[in-house]
Amino acid sequence: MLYDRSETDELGIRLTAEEMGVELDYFPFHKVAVGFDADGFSYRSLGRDYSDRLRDTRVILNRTQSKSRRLFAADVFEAMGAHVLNPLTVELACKSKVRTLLAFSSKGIRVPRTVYVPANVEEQVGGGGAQDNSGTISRLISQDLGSEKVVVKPDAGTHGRGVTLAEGPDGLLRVLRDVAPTIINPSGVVAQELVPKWFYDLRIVVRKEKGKAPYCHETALARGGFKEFRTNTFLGNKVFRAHLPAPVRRQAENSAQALGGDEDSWVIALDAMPRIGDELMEGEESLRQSFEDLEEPFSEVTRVKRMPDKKRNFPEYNREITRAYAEYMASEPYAHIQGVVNETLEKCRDSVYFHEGNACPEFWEQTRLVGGVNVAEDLLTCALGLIDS
Amino acid sequence: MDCGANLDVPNDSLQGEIIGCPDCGLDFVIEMDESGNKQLRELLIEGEDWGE
Repeated sequence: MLYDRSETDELGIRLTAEEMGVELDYFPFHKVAVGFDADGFSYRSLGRDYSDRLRDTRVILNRTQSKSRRLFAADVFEAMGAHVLNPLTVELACKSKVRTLLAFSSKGIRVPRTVYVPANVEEQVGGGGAQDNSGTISRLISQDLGSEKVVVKPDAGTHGRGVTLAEGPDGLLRVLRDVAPTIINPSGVVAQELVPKWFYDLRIVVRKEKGKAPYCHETALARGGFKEFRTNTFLGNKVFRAHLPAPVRRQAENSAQALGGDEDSWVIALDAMPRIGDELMEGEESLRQSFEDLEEPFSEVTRVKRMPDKKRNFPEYNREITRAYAEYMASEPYAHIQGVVNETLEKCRDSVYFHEGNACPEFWEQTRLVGGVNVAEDLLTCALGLIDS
Repeated sequence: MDCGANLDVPNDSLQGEIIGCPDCGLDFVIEMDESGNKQLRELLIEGEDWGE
Protein backbone atom coordinates (compact mmCIF):
# COMPACT_ATOMS: atom_id res chain seq x y z
CA MET A 1 0.00 0.00 0.00
CA LEU A 2 1.27 3.42 -0.98
CA TYR A 3 0.38 6.66 0.75
CA ASP A 4 1.71 10.06 1.74
CA ARG A 5 -0.14 9.98 5.04
CA SER A 6 -2.49 7.44 6.56
CA GLU A 7 -6.02 7.98 7.71
CA THR A 8 -8.48 5.49 9.21
CA ASP A 9 -9.14 4.16 5.69
CA GLU A 10 -5.53 3.04 5.32
CA LEU A 11 -5.48 1.55 8.81
CA GLY A 12 -8.71 -0.21 7.87
CA ILE A 13 -7.09 -1.63 4.74
CA ARG A 14 -4.25 -3.01 6.87
CA LEU A 15 -6.76 -4.57 9.28
CA THR A 16 -8.81 -6.08 6.45
CA ALA A 17 -5.65 -7.47 4.86
CA GLU A 18 -4.77 -9.21 8.14
CA GLU A 19 -8.28 -10.68 8.36
CA MET A 20 -8.08 -11.87 4.75
CA GLY A 21 -4.59 -13.30 5.21
CA VAL A 22 -3.14 -10.97 2.56
CA GLU A 23 0.48 -9.92 2.90
CA LEU A 24 0.50 -6.13 2.68
CA ASP A 25 3.65 -4.02 2.66
CA TYR A 26 3.92 -0.24 2.91
CA PHE A 27 5.67 2.31 0.71
CA PRO A 28 5.85 5.98 1.65
CA PHE A 29 5.15 8.52 -1.07
CA HIS A 30 6.16 11.85 0.35
CA LYS A 31 9.77 12.45 1.36
CA VAL A 32 11.32 9.87 -0.92
CA ALA A 33 13.42 10.14 -4.05
CA VAL A 34 12.25 8.22 -7.08
CA GLY A 35 15.23 8.02 -9.44
CA PHE A 36 15.11 6.67 -12.97
CA ASP A 37 16.98 6.45 -16.22
CA ALA A 38 17.31 3.91 -18.99
CA ASP A 39 19.07 1.50 -16.62
CA GLY A 40 16.20 1.30 -14.14
CA PHE A 41 14.62 2.75 -11.05
CA SER A 42 15.63 3.53 -7.50
CA TYR A 43 13.37 4.40 -4.59
CA ARG A 44 15.03 5.83 -1.50
CA SER A 45 14.25 7.81 1.61
CA LEU A 46 17.03 9.36 3.65
CA GLY A 47 17.14 6.30 5.87
CA ARG A 48 16.11 3.38 3.69
CA ASP A 49 16.50 2.01 0.19
CA TYR A 50 13.16 0.54 -0.95
CA SER A 51 14.40 -0.41 -4.43
CA ASP A 52 14.71 -4.16 -3.76
CA ARG A 53 11.32 -4.36 -2.06
CA LEU A 54 9.79 -2.71 -5.10
CA ARG A 55 11.08 -5.42 -7.38
CA ASP A 56 9.15 -8.01 -5.33
CA THR A 57 5.92 -6.02 -5.39
CA ARG A 58 3.25 -7.04 -7.91
CA VAL A 59 0.33 -4.77 -7.03
CA ILE A 60 0.25 -1.28 -5.57
CA LEU A 61 -2.82 -0.03 -3.70
CA ASN A 62 -2.51 3.68 -4.38
CA ARG A 63 -3.97 5.49 -1.36
CA THR A 64 -2.02 8.73 -1.79
CA GLN A 65 -4.22 11.46 -0.34
CA SER A 66 -3.21 14.34 -2.58
CA LYS A 67 -4.93 14.02 -5.97
CA SER A 68 -2.04 15.40 -8.00
CA ARG A 69 0.50 13.37 -6.08
CA ARG A 70 -1.66 10.26 -6.58
CA LEU A 71 -1.47 10.75 -10.35
CA PHE A 72 2.32 10.87 -10.16
CA ALA A 73 2.27 7.72 -8.02
CA ALA A 74 0.18 5.82 -10.57
CA ASP A 75 2.45 7.02 -13.38
CA VAL A 76 5.66 6.07 -11.57
CA PHE A 77 4.59 2.61 -10.45
CA GLU A 78 3.01 1.66 -13.76
CA ALA A 79 6.27 2.66 -15.44
CA MET A 80 8.05 0.34 -13.01
CA GLY A 81 5.84 -2.50 -14.25
CA ALA A 82 3.54 -2.90 -11.26
CA HIS A 83 -0.23 -3.20 -11.41
CA VAL A 84 -1.74 -0.17 -9.70
CA LEU A 85 -5.19 0.06 -8.11
CA ASN A 86 -6.46 2.29 -9.41
CA PRO A 87 -4.74 2.52 -12.83
CA LEU A 88 -3.61 5.90 -14.13
CA THR A 89 -6.35 5.99 -16.79
CA VAL A 90 -9.01 5.57 -14.10
CA GLU A 91 -7.43 8.26 -11.91
CA LEU A 92 -7.35 10.66 -14.87
CA ALA A 93 -10.95 9.88 -15.82
CA CYS A 94 -12.16 10.47 -12.28
CA LYS A 95 -10.07 13.57 -11.59
CA SER A 96 -12.05 15.83 -13.93
CA LYS A 97 -15.83 16.14 -13.54
CA VAL A 98 -16.16 17.14 -17.21
CA ARG A 99 -14.09 14.17 -18.35
CA THR A 100 -16.19 11.85 -16.18
CA LEU A 101 -19.46 13.25 -17.47
CA LEU A 102 -18.27 12.97 -21.08
CA ALA A 103 -17.35 9.31 -20.48
CA PHE A 104 -20.79 8.64 -18.99
CA SER A 105 -22.83 10.48 -21.61
CA SER A 106 -20.93 8.92 -24.53
CA LYS A 107 -22.15 5.52 -23.25
CA GLY A 108 -25.76 6.67 -22.96
CA ILE A 109 -25.70 6.99 -19.18
CA ARG A 110 -28.05 9.61 -17.73
CA VAL A 111 -26.11 12.67 -16.53
CA PRO A 112 -27.22 16.14 -15.45
CA ARG A 113 -27.18 18.54 -18.42
CA THR A 114 -23.73 20.15 -18.23
CA VAL A 115 -22.14 23.14 -19.91
CA TYR A 116 -18.39 23.75 -20.04
CA VAL A 117 -17.14 27.20 -21.09
CA PRO A 118 -13.37 27.17 -21.74
CA ALA A 119 -12.86 30.90 -21.07
CA ASN A 120 -11.86 32.13 -17.62
CA VAL A 121 -14.07 34.72 -15.95
CA GLU A 122 -11.20 37.21 -15.71
CA GLU A 123 -8.31 37.17 -18.16
CA GLN A 124 -5.20 39.35 -18.24
CA VAL A 125 -4.89 41.30 -21.48
CA GLY A 126 -1.85 42.77 -23.25
CA GLY A 127 -0.84 46.18 -22.03
CA GLY A 128 -2.04 45.49 -18.50
CA GLY A 129 -5.54 45.27 -17.11
CA ALA A 130 -8.06 42.47 -17.10
CA GLN A 131 -11.02 41.51 -19.22
CA ASP A 132 -14.22 40.64 -17.41
CA ASN A 133 -15.91 37.77 -19.26
CA SER A 134 -18.58 37.10 -16.62
CA GLY A 135 -21.43 38.58 -18.69
CA THR A 136 -20.55 36.57 -21.78
CA ILE A 137 -20.06 33.36 -19.81
CA SER A 138 -23.33 33.91 -17.98
CA ARG A 139 -25.20 34.28 -21.30
CA LEU A 140 -23.47 31.21 -22.76
CA ILE A 141 -24.56 29.13 -19.77
CA SER A 142 -28.09 30.54 -19.66
CA GLN A 143 -28.79 29.93 -23.34
CA ASP A 144 -28.40 26.21 -22.61
CA LEU A 145 -29.42 25.72 -18.97
CA GLY A 146 -31.66 28.72 -18.36
CA SER A 147 -30.81 30.94 -15.42
CA GLU A 148 -33.45 30.00 -12.86
CA LYS A 149 -31.25 27.55 -10.94
CA VAL A 150 -27.78 26.57 -12.10
CA VAL A 151 -25.04 24.76 -10.21
CA VAL A 152 -21.52 26.10 -10.76
CA LYS A 153 -18.75 23.77 -9.66
CA PRO A 154 -14.95 23.40 -9.91
CA ASP A 155 -13.89 20.72 -12.36
CA ALA A 156 -11.61 18.89 -9.92
CA GLY A 157 -12.95 19.76 -6.49
CA THR A 158 -13.81 17.38 -3.65
CA HIS A 159 -15.93 17.44 -0.49
CA GLY A 160 -18.37 19.90 -2.07
CA ARG A 161 -15.75 22.63 -2.08
CA GLY A 162 -16.66 25.47 -4.46
CA VAL A 163 -20.00 23.94 -5.51
CA THR A 164 -22.46 26.83 -5.60
CA LEU A 165 -26.13 27.16 -6.49
CA ALA A 166 -26.81 30.27 -8.58
CA GLU A 167 -30.40 31.54 -8.73
CA GLY A 168 -31.48 34.00 -11.39
CA PRO A 169 -29.33 35.98 -13.85
CA ASP A 170 -27.90 38.29 -11.17
CA GLY A 171 -27.17 35.33 -8.91
CA LEU A 172 -25.30 33.59 -11.72
CA LEU A 173 -23.17 36.69 -12.36
CA ARG A 174 -22.35 36.96 -8.65
CA VAL A 175 -21.32 33.29 -8.47
CA LEU A 176 -19.23 33.53 -11.65
CA ARG A 177 -17.21 36.43 -10.29
CA ASP A 178 -15.85 34.05 -7.63
CA VAL A 179 -14.68 31.49 -10.21
CA ALA A 180 -10.98 31.71 -10.95
CA PRO A 181 -8.31 29.30 -12.27
CA THR A 182 -7.07 27.23 -9.30
CA ILE A 183 -5.64 23.79 -8.68
CA ILE A 184 -9.21 22.44 -8.34
CA ASN A 185 -10.48 24.31 -11.41
CA PRO A 186 -7.59 24.74 -13.83
CA SER A 187 -9.47 26.55 -16.58
CA GLY A 188 -12.92 27.62 -17.67
CA VAL A 189 -16.28 27.29 -15.97
CA VAL A 190 -18.38 24.19 -15.36
CA ALA A 191 -22.12 24.67 -14.90
CA GLN A 192 -24.86 22.11 -14.53
CA GLU A 193 -28.64 21.85 -14.28
CA LEU A 194 -29.95 21.39 -10.76
CA VAL A 195 -31.40 17.88 -10.60
CA PRO A 196 -34.38 17.78 -8.21
CA LYS A 197 -33.08 14.95 -6.04
CA TRP A 198 -35.22 16.02 -3.06
CA PHE A 199 -33.01 15.38 -0.05
CA TYR A 200 -30.46 12.66 -0.84
CA ASP A 201 -27.94 11.32 -3.29
CA LEU A 202 -26.00 8.05 -3.49
CA ARG A 203 -22.44 6.78 -3.13
CA ILE A 204 -22.26 3.48 -5.06
CA VAL A 205 -19.22 1.18 -5.17
CA VAL A 206 -18.39 -0.94 -8.21
CA ARG A 207 -15.39 -3.21 -8.56
CA LYS A 208 -13.91 -5.09 -11.48
CA GLU A 209 -11.68 -8.10 -10.90
CA LYS A 210 -9.44 -9.25 -13.71
CA GLY A 211 -11.27 -11.62 -16.03
CA LYS A 212 -14.68 -10.85 -14.52
CA ALA A 213 -17.48 -8.42 -15.31
CA PRO A 214 -17.94 -5.29 -13.21
CA TYR A 215 -19.82 -5.91 -9.98
CA CYS A 216 -21.95 -3.32 -8.18
CA HIS A 217 -22.69 -3.90 -4.51
CA GLU A 218 -26.36 -4.40 -3.62
CA THR A 219 -26.28 -1.69 -1.00
CA ALA A 220 -25.06 1.88 -1.19
CA LEU A 221 -24.66 4.93 0.99
CA ALA A 222 -27.47 7.47 0.77
CA ARG A 223 -26.35 10.90 1.98
CA GLY A 224 -28.77 13.67 2.66
CA GLY A 225 -30.52 16.32 4.63
CA PHE A 226 -32.47 19.48 4.16
CA LYS A 227 -29.85 21.98 5.30
CA GLU A 228 -28.42 22.60 1.85
CA PHE A 229 -28.39 21.18 -1.66
CA ARG A 230 -24.85 19.70 -1.43
CA THR A 231 -25.01 16.25 0.12
CA ASN A 232 -21.36 15.53 0.89
CA THR A 233 -21.12 14.00 4.36
CA PHE A 234 -18.10 16.21 4.92
CA LEU A 235 -20.67 19.00 5.20
CA GLY A 236 -22.52 17.29 8.04
CA ASN A 237 -25.31 15.50 6.22
CA LYS A 238 -26.72 12.24 7.54
CA VAL A 239 -26.21 8.82 6.01
CA PHE A 240 -28.43 5.81 5.38
CA ARG A 241 -28.14 2.36 3.86
CA ALA A 242 -29.89 2.22 0.49
CA HIS A 243 -30.86 -0.99 -1.28
CA LEU A 244 -30.19 -0.57 -4.98
CA PRO A 245 -32.79 -1.77 -7.48
CA ALA A 246 -31.32 -3.96 -10.21
CA PRO A 247 -31.59 -1.33 -12.99
CA VAL A 248 -29.60 1.11 -10.85
CA ARG A 249 -26.91 -1.51 -10.25
CA ARG A 250 -26.68 -2.18 -14.00
CA GLN A 251 -26.36 1.55 -14.73
CA ALA A 252 -23.69 1.82 -12.05
CA GLU A 253 -21.71 -1.04 -13.58
CA ASN A 254 -21.96 0.61 -17.02
CA SER A 255 -20.89 3.96 -15.55
CA ALA A 256 -17.88 2.51 -13.79
CA GLN A 257 -16.95 0.55 -16.92
CA ALA A 258 -17.07 3.83 -18.88
CA LEU A 259 -14.36 5.15 -16.54
CA GLY A 260 -12.45 1.87 -16.34
CA GLY A 261 -12.12 1.51 -20.10
CA ASP A 262 -9.86 -1.40 -21.07
CA GLU A 263 -8.20 -1.72 -17.66
CA ASP A 264 -8.14 -5.21 -16.14
CA SER A 265 -9.12 -4.22 -12.62
CA TRP A 266 -10.39 -1.22 -10.66
CA VAL A 267 -12.55 -0.09 -7.76
CA ILE A 268 -14.61 3.05 -8.32
CA ALA A 269 -17.02 4.88 -6.04
CA LEU A 270 -19.73 6.64 -8.04
CA ASP A 271 -21.90 9.57 -7.06
CA ALA A 272 -25.46 9.46 -8.37
CA MET A 273 -28.77 11.15 -7.68
CA PRO A 274 -32.38 10.18 -8.32
CA ARG A 275 -34.55 12.67 -10.18
CA ILE A 276 -37.54 12.76 -7.86
CA GLY A 277 -40.68 14.43 -9.11
CA ASP A 278 -42.97 16.56 -6.95
CA GLU A 279 -45.55 13.78 -6.83
CA LEU A 280 -43.16 11.60 -4.82
CA MET A 281 -42.11 14.29 -2.35
CA GLU A 282 -44.61 13.34 0.36
CA GLY A 283 -44.33 13.68 4.09
CA GLU A 284 -41.53 16.22 4.03
CA GLU A 285 -42.60 17.73 7.32
CA SER A 286 -42.27 14.45 9.20
CA LEU A 287 -38.98 13.78 7.39
CA ARG A 288 -37.58 17.08 8.57
CA GLN A 289 -38.65 16.16 12.10
CA SER A 290 -36.87 12.82 11.81
CA PHE A 291 -33.69 14.57 10.66
CA GLU A 292 -33.90 16.78 13.73
CA ASP A 293 -34.48 13.74 15.92
CA LEU A 294 -31.37 12.13 14.43
CA GLU A 295 -29.10 14.89 15.70
CA GLU A 296 -28.70 13.24 19.10
CA PRO A 297 -27.71 9.71 17.98
CA PHE A 298 -25.51 11.24 15.27
CA SER A 299 -23.80 13.53 17.76
CA GLU A 300 -22.35 10.42 19.42
CA VAL A 301 -20.93 9.37 16.04
CA THR A 302 -19.40 12.81 15.62
CA ARG A 303 -17.95 12.68 19.15
CA VAL A 304 -16.26 9.35 18.53
CA LYS A 305 -14.91 10.49 15.15
CA ARG A 306 -13.18 13.37 16.90
CA MET A 307 -11.17 11.02 19.19
CA PRO A 308 -7.79 12.74 19.23
CA ASP A 309 -5.70 9.56 19.22
CA LYS A 310 -7.91 7.39 17.05
CA LYS A 311 -5.09 6.35 14.74
CA ARG A 312 -2.80 5.43 17.63
CA ASN A 313 -5.62 3.48 19.33
CA PHE A 314 -7.23 2.18 16.19
CA PRO A 315 -8.75 -1.03 17.68
CA GLU A 316 -10.50 1.00 20.39
CA TYR A 317 -11.63 3.61 17.87
CA ASN A 318 -12.99 0.83 15.69
CA ARG A 319 -15.04 -0.63 18.53
CA GLU A 320 -16.41 2.75 19.53
CA ILE A 321 -17.31 3.92 16.03
CA THR A 322 -19.00 0.59 15.26
CA ARG A 323 -21.06 0.94 18.43
CA ALA A 324 -21.98 4.55 17.73
CA TYR A 325 -23.14 3.83 14.18
CA ALA A 326 -25.07 0.73 15.32
CA GLU A 327 -27.01 2.83 17.82
CA TYR A 328 -27.62 5.50 15.18
CA MET A 329 -28.91 2.92 12.69
CA ALA A 330 -31.15 1.30 15.32
CA SER A 331 -33.04 4.55 15.98
CA GLU A 332 -36.61 5.15 14.85
CA PRO A 333 -35.89 8.34 12.90
CA TYR A 334 -33.18 6.47 10.98
CA ALA A 335 -35.64 3.71 10.06
CA HIS A 336 -38.20 6.29 8.93
CA ILE A 337 -35.83 8.15 6.63
CA GLN A 338 -34.23 4.96 5.33
CA GLY A 339 -37.70 3.69 4.43
CA VAL A 340 -38.44 6.83 2.40
CA VAL A 341 -35.07 6.59 0.63
CA ASN A 342 -35.65 2.97 -0.41
CA GLU A 343 -39.26 3.60 -1.44
CA THR A 344 -38.45 6.62 -3.62
CA LEU A 345 -35.37 4.94 -5.07
CA GLU A 346 -37.46 1.97 -6.16
CA LYS A 347 -39.97 4.30 -7.84
CA CYS A 348 -37.17 6.31 -9.52
CA ARG A 349 -35.14 3.28 -10.56
CA ASP A 350 -35.19 4.41 -14.17
CA SER A 351 -34.22 8.03 -13.54
CA VAL A 352 -31.00 7.94 -11.55
CA TYR A 353 -28.35 10.35 -12.82
CA PHE A 354 -24.64 9.57 -12.46
CA HIS A 355 -22.33 12.54 -12.17
CA GLU A 356 -18.99 11.73 -10.55
CA GLY A 357 -16.43 8.96 -10.07
CA ASN A 358 -13.99 8.65 -7.18
CA ALA A 359 -10.80 6.63 -7.56
CA CYS A 360 -9.67 6.85 -3.93
CA PRO A 361 -12.80 7.15 -1.81
CA GLU A 362 -12.98 7.62 1.93
CA PHE A 363 -14.90 4.58 3.17
CA TRP A 364 -13.93 3.10 6.55
CA GLU A 365 -16.64 4.69 8.65
CA GLN A 366 -19.76 5.58 6.67
CA THR A 367 -19.51 3.62 3.42
CA ARG A 368 -18.51 0.50 5.37
CA LEU A 369 -20.66 0.66 8.49
CA VAL A 370 -23.74 2.37 7.10
CA GLY A 371 -23.51 1.63 3.37
CA GLY A 372 -22.51 -1.96 4.07
CA VAL A 373 -19.54 -1.89 1.67
CA ASN A 374 -15.96 -2.45 2.81
CA VAL A 375 -13.93 -0.96 -0.05
CA ALA A 376 -10.80 -2.52 1.48
CA GLU A 377 -12.21 -5.98 0.64
CA ASP A 378 -12.81 -4.84 -2.94
CA LEU A 379 -9.29 -3.46 -3.28
CA LEU A 380 -7.65 -6.57 -1.82
CA THR A 381 -9.84 -8.95 -3.84
CA CYS A 382 -8.95 -7.09 -7.04
CA ALA A 383 -5.27 -7.11 -6.06
CA LEU A 384 -5.35 -10.88 -5.49
CA GLY A 385 -7.00 -11.30 -8.87
CA LEU A 386 -4.14 -9.43 -10.52
CA ILE A 387 -1.50 -11.48 -8.69
CA ASP A 388 -3.14 -14.86 -9.32
CA SER A 389 -3.36 -14.15 -13.02
CA MET B 1 5.94 4.20 12.74
CA ASP B 2 3.88 3.27 9.65
CA CYS B 3 7.05 2.01 7.99
CA GLY B 4 7.96 -0.19 10.93
CA ALA B 5 10.93 1.92 11.95
CA ASN B 6 11.64 2.87 15.55
CA LEU B 7 12.02 6.60 15.88
CA ASP B 8 14.35 7.80 18.62
CA VAL B 9 13.20 11.01 20.27
CA PRO B 10 16.20 12.86 21.74
CA ASN B 11 16.06 13.40 25.51
CA ASP B 12 16.64 17.12 25.09
CA SER B 13 13.89 17.58 22.50
CA LEU B 14 11.30 20.22 23.26
CA GLN B 15 7.52 20.26 22.97
CA GLY B 16 6.53 21.52 19.54
CA GLU B 17 9.71 20.34 17.85
CA ILE B 18 9.27 18.58 14.53
CA ILE B 19 11.22 15.42 13.83
CA GLY B 20 11.13 13.27 10.74
CA CYS B 21 11.31 9.52 10.33
CA PRO B 22 14.39 8.87 8.18
CA ASP B 23 12.88 5.68 6.73
CA CYS B 24 9.56 6.93 5.43
CA GLY B 25 9.99 10.70 5.70
CA LEU B 26 6.83 11.34 7.73
CA ASP B 27 7.10 14.31 10.07
CA PHE B 28 5.91 14.32 13.67
CA VAL B 29 5.37 17.01 16.29
CA ILE B 30 6.58 16.28 19.82
CA GLU B 31 3.81 16.73 22.40
CA MET B 32 3.50 16.09 26.12
CA ASP B 33 0.70 13.88 27.44
CA GLU B 34 -1.05 14.48 30.76
CA SER B 35 1.69 12.60 32.63
CA GLY B 36 4.42 14.75 31.09
CA ASN B 37 5.65 11.97 28.79
CA LYS B 38 6.65 12.80 25.26
CA GLN B 39 4.48 11.50 22.46
CA LEU B 40 4.40 12.05 18.73
CA ARG B 41 1.58 13.47 16.65
CA GLU B 42 1.67 13.29 12.89
CA LEU B 43 2.29 16.71 11.37
CA LEU B 44 -0.70 17.89 9.33
CA ILE B 45 0.09 19.61 6.07
CA GLU B 46 -2.26 22.42 5.04
CA GLY B 47 -3.06 23.68 1.59
CA GLU B 48 -2.87 20.41 -0.30
CA ASP B 49 -5.50 19.22 -2.71
CA TRP B 50 -6.40 16.20 -0.67
CA GLY B 51 -7.99 13.29 -2.31
CA GLU B 52 -11.68 12.46 -2.45
